[in-house]
Amino acid sequence: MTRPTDEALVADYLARLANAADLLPRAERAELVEQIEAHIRAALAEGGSDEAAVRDVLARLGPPEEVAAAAGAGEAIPTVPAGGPGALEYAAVVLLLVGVVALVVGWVVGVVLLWSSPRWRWPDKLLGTLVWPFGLGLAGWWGLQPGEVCSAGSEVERAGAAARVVAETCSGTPPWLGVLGLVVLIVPPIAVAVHLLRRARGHRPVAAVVRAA
Amino acid sequence: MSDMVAGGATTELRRGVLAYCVLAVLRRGPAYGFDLVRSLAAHEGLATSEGTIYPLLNRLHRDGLLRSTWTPSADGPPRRYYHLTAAGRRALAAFGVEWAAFRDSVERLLEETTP
Repeated sequence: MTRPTDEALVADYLARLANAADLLPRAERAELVEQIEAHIRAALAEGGSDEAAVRDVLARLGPPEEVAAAAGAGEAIPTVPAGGPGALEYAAVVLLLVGVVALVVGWVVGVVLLWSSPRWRWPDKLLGTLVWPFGLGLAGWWGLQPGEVCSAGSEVERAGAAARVVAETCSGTPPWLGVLGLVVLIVPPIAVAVHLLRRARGHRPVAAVVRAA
Repeated sequence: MSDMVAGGATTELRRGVLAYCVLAVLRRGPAYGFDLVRSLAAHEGLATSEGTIYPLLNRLHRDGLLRSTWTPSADGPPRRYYHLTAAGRRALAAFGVEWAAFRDSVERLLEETTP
């Protein structure tokens, strides 16, 4: 195991395994990758360690996807039910985005729907809850802030004060910061909403992967 | 299509039986992962993909049919040895009885129906 190409073969195999096993609980995935790596090291310590030996060891292990699928088989892996997102899922995503306009309660209902749907796993649910709380409500709130400050500035201008005063009044929130703030507050919730709908569509049917193994 | 179904059936059958083969290997004494896997692989047709033995080991471990200990190795990192537990021994004994009856039945049926 001295040649970099051999190390790269092993690293590639382990990376594929970790990737294929990303549905497993974190500790289980780490354990599996560790075991397979120990197996490879032991095999190479025993047999030769030229490139042919490395390839042979990896071939005998089987495709990493198959190993990961074997780890998933028989486990209580939450499966995505057949069919696409239903009314519940659409309602959840819409309420998460704009439910806040209904006195905040709408967003809370969205969160409840999000967590009660079987179509999402907990990381997605956490994402939907935390990015961002109150959905686009935060962006709306932010959007109002600089407007007020600058309108105050224009009143000062109309009153005949120097342009310097306007600059000072508005310099607290330069336009680029306002735009950046809006982008940071608008893009993530929309991206998360799109992500949630894609997940709900079940583009990764876990059960099918496990059965195929 | 029928080939795929037959292959799938063999895979299912192997997966179910393989767990007991792992327990059977450990009846001879504790073994570390690589050793265990190669012992199984020495028996043709038992484990086509050696890597899939590890998830099986972990499942048996979680089910309490085997336990593991870390033992220092003279030539490398510590090795994780797997041991059969009392529950594993009992499960293996029960399987031995069931398997013998199952195997006999299948063989008889295949013999009777062979033209």
